[in-house]
Amino acid sequence: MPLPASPIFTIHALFSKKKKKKKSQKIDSLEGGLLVCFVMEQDLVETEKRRKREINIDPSLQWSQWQLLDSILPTGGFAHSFGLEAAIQARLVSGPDDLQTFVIHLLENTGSLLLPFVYSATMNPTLDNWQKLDRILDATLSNEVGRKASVSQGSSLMRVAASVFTELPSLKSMRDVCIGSGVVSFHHAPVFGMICGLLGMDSGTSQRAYIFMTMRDVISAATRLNLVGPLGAAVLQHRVAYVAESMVKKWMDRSVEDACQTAPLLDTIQGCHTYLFSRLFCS
Amino acid sequence: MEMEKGKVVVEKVRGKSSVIRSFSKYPLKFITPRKVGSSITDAVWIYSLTYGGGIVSGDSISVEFTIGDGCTAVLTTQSSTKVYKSLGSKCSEQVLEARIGSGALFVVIPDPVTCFSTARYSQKQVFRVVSDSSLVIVDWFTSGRHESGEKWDFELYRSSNCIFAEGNQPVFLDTVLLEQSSPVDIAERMHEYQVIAMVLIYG
Repeated sequence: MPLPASPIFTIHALFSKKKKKKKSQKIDSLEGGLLVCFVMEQDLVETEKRRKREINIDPSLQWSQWQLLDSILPTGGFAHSFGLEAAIQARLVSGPDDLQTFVIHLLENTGSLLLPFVYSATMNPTLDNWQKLDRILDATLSNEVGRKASVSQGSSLMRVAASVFTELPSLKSMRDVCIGSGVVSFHHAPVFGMICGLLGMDSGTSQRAYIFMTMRDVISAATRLNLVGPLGAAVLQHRVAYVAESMVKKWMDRSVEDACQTAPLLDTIQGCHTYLFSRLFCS
Repeated sequence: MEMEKGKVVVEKVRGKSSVIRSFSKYPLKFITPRKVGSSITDAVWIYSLTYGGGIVSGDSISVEFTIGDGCTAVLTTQSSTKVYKSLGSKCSEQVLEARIGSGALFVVIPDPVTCFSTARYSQKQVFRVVSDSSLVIVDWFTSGRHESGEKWDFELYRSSNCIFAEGNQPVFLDTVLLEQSSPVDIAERMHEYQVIAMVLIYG
């Protein structure tokens, strides 16, 4: 384990402070330096604790997790802007500040409406539960644009996961059972939750991952819509991550009966996407 | 807290949709005036009123409607539903549960809900239909007494509309929740809009 440079500086500074204790001189800069060292030392202690916790996660699960969350997975998520394109044309979003507000509203709406489905599917990744959740979500997504986007992303994800995660034969068999029958619409949130559950992910991670993916995709859409550059997008994403985490904590582990919308205006605007004269995205 | 229940049953009497049972308890009242719609159209109009003109903090109103086969019933209000400020964080609520028969039409066209500053309000409307029932539902609410400067100043507004077909199959489920405690306040979420309306046409 490589030793960072700061501990050496810390020890030296502490030693120096002891010597100068008698003289009430200009200890300000030294105290400031000590404070920085103390903070850095605390950071290191925290990082070390976090590192030890992460070692307990099964490494092969990490590879699957990262692949599932990677934007390179061919699920067609890049074709959707989550109502951002419509919001720009409706003049609700015109610059990076509006974009940040939009992203936060979107994440809250995703949390309140879709996290219950991800949660339930991860906790109970069975065919029966999946069909039930899918039916309820189909009745809930009355916004036709949002509904079609969910179905298209969900079906792609199911197809990809069934081919990629061959250690889960139930994915392929469930898909084969439902594909022709018309009983299941393949909505995105339940499919995602179910794949996470079958892979062995805990529900907290799967819900956090769902919010992460939404944030990732909407910010990516923003760069393609020229609202923000790639570097600005990365900075924005990290800045919003703190708010995103509070959204996850607020809306996680709820029942499907409590699913609700918290940004009705966004939902309405997204529904207008089909009326746009020229558009880059499907939704 | 015991819910104040109201109950209305509409059936065909001598070929015309009629209210055969109407029961309401304070603070709720139903009025069924005779000459509202055109005399050629078979439809019964039911007005729902609250004593005092609004819903006071902690009020709990529950109503059940049964629309018989082939009937047409219209439910509306005398004026906008005002929800007064919440005392002690109490939430007021209204619940409507309706059963619509075969070939029947239920039209729910109230005035909008207006929540005053700090009000807390929750409403739930459940419609149980059969394959050939029809529904027209309008659910709308305003930002508050915006002439007095109250714009999206209430604490909590929740409205849930559910349509279930036979066998409890969900046809339409929609819940809107606006709560002031979020990181983003309600006014910011609504931008410059002062009213939101949802119109459901089914059948």
